Amino acid sequence: MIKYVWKFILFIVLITAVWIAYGMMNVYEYAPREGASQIEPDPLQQTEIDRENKGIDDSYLIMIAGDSIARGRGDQSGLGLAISFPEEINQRPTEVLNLGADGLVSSELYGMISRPDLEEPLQNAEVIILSIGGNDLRRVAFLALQGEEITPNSMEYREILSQYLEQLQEVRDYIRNRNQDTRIILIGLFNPFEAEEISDYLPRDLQLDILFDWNYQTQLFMEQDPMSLFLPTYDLFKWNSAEYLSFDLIHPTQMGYRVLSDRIADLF
Amino acid sequence: MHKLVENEILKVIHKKRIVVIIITVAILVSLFAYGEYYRSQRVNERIAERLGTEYAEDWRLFTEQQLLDHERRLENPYLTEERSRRLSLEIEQYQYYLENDINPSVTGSATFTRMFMEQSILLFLPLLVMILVSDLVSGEFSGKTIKLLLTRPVSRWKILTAKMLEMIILVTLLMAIIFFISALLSTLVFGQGGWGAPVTTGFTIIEGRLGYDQVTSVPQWLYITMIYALAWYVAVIVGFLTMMLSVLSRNTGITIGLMMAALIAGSILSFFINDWPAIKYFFVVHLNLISYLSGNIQPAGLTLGFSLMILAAWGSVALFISYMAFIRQDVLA
Repeated sequence: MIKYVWKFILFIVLITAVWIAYGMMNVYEYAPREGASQIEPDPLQQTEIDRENKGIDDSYLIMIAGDSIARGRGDQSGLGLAISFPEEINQRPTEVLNLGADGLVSSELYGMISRPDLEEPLQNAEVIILSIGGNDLRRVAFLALQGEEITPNSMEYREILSQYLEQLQEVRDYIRNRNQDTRIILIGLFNPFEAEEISDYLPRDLQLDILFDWNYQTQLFMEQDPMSLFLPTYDLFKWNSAEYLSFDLIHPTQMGYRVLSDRIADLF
Repeated sequence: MHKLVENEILKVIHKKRIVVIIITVAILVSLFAYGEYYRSQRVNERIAERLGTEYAEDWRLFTEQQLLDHERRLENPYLTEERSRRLSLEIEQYQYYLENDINPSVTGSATFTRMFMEQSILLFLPLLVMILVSDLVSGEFSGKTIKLLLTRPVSRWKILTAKMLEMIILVTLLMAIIFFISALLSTLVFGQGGWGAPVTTGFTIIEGRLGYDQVTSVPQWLYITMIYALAWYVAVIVGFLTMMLSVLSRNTGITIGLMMAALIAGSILSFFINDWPAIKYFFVVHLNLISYLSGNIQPAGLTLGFSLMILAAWGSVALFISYMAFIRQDVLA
């Protein structure tokens, strides 16, 4: 009997050995190697080609820059804020250049917009739509989660707000140096606090205080420039959050983008 | 030699040690499987809570949305090469889930088999090896059978070689046991398989960290084959070290104690590896070979080849010391 057990064990061991040998051969195949190329292929050249193909020069160029809402996250159609734009504006075909990137904060916006390959589109853009600040304001929410006392007058909030406004100033100056009369539209924030479940840490009335203060300061800033506009959005989502906001409570749904986009399209 | 090895294995079978191993693995796998099952239930509850029941009941909706979102992100011309490679691999995974009707939020038996080894390679696997191996030599001393063994007309190095071969056979058997038990039990618990699901691997090392510019995907069964092969290598090295301690200390308890101390010390010391380069010559730091394939940690200037070399060096030194000690040992004491 025990002889058979020994034979059986030997049999299993042999099969396993073959299996392991096969695995070892493949490990050699897929083992991490020294990185062959560290230099990323230049994304600027890519854009150059894209732009040539699209023939941006004779079209009505709308640039969208900023965070995930600019990119259109949550919208299945992929058009995002551009969803309701007419195909032609002033007998010129509409062209949308979307630079949105998830999670962008205001300090990164300048870097996004000041890239040399965007120089030309910036000069030609008729409209520049910015969606920024939501991720900055979420930092305030995290401070509240860490137990900081946050009010519209607290140092921490003021610090973040003033940094944000400084960054906006730089971005606007940069754009204006290249394009005197393009329209700049900044999308207001609706409720970046909703998703954080922080009502225990930051009572709802304080959340609104901060949100409205943020939007108000942004609007004051935008109004310094005659061709700039602050677009309020809080009202759009207040009664319709179930339909217009996706499950993460931050990004609009396709319908949400449509109402936002309608509001922008009405401005032209 | 063949007879010697056979005889050694028969002794192990008589001692019921393998049965103990099978039971230990089965208990641990069941606990782990239950935990995983419980966790996926909770994840589903949370999805239902946040996204509404339609998403929880139909995971396809959720997965399709993820897929769409990834595809659109890929269209962005401003993506870096590295990022778009990762995105397209993730897209490939979502497509596989949809095509093969696999719910990604529920663990399949293949994923479980993989995860179990990924989790156990650092501590549980070496521990099992110790249980199997630690008294192969010292047991002869404590049972006073060493004199009977060494008075046979067989040279000492042959006896030790037989025991070393036995150790390798047992370790190989152990890998088969772990694989079969975890594959079997997890199939019973989870139902779905996913053996062909794509797994991301093929990382590069750029300036001491894992890079993504050459990542590809391999089917999960192949990935599992690879990590079990690496685990086997680790287990054999741990086996050699345990044998050495077993020869030197002649005491099973001391052997297990010292090995455990080394393992625990190693996992603590590996925190210092960035600031204290000498640590990288300690074998315990290299036990987690799987991380080179899975890209889970950033190797601080380490490569798979270097880790394999260090382990091999420790193994051969241990082998050498074992032979020297065993051949010269005075057994009258």
